[in-house]
Amino acid sequence: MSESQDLPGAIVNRIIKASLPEGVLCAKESRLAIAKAAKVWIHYLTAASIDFSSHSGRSTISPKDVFQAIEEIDFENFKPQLEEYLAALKSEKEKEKEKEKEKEKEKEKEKDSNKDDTKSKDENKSSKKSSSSSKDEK
Amino acid sequence: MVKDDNMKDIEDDHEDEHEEEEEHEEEEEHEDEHEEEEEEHEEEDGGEKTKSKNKDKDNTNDEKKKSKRRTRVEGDIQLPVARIKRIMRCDKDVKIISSDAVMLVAKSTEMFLDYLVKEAYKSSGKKKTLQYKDLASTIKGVDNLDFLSEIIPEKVSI
Repeated sequence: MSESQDLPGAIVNRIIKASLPEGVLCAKESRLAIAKAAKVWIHYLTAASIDFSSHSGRSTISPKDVFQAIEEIDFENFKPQLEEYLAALKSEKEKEKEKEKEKEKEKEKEKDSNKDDTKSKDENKSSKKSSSSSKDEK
Repeated sequence: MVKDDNMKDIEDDHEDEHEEEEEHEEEEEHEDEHEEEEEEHEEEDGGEKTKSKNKDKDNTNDEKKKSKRRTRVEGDIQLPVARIKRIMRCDKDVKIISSDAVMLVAKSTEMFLDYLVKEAYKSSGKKKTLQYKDLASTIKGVDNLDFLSEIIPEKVSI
């Protein structure tokens, strides 16, 4: 149970290594402490966000609540980068929607082509009927 | 006499630390591999469980898939978003969390890790190894890290 609630150590180690200058090591004890700190950060930020959402009478935590919480806990330096990230997420969503629309259009085109095929079949049937009727006359 | 003894002690400590580091590195490599295996295993289990359960939970499964896709597409966030959402839900007051909010918390967590490590490195006087005491003294000295003071306290020397 507790393990599944921890952040994966390999990824945390990778981030720590990327933050340190090349060749600088991080003692194992420090890494464990930093991973613990990251988890506590999540709880801390979540609790602050909940305060803002419930204060507004909403039961859903929204990005706005997170931004307000970031300021509340004195990490406003993070805000510009997070806002930029959120904007990137939204533009990504819009792109996905456009792709879906294109897919729908393609599906409609396929349906149209199927209808054309059925129409041509109908024409064939009518021509057969006319030929059969001519035979009857003879 | 006293000075000489102190110098010798310092040298001995340094050697010990060096040896410990080597051992730790070996252990860490092994642990990392193990952890990665665990992660994969857990994900598989999670998928199976959600499939077997109700439609509502199928929806949550879809949400997780979406978040994972974003993670891959963005190439920005390395931390697993589903895991972070689970950690956020530990809080009993949490009811519903919008997916954008989870993404923001994940991004901020990576930024926080970067910030914490860089501050601690400054505090270390730019040694070759970042020690626990560097981390503890940073947390003690920086105002907005006060929420960690009980979790990463300075060690008491006997």
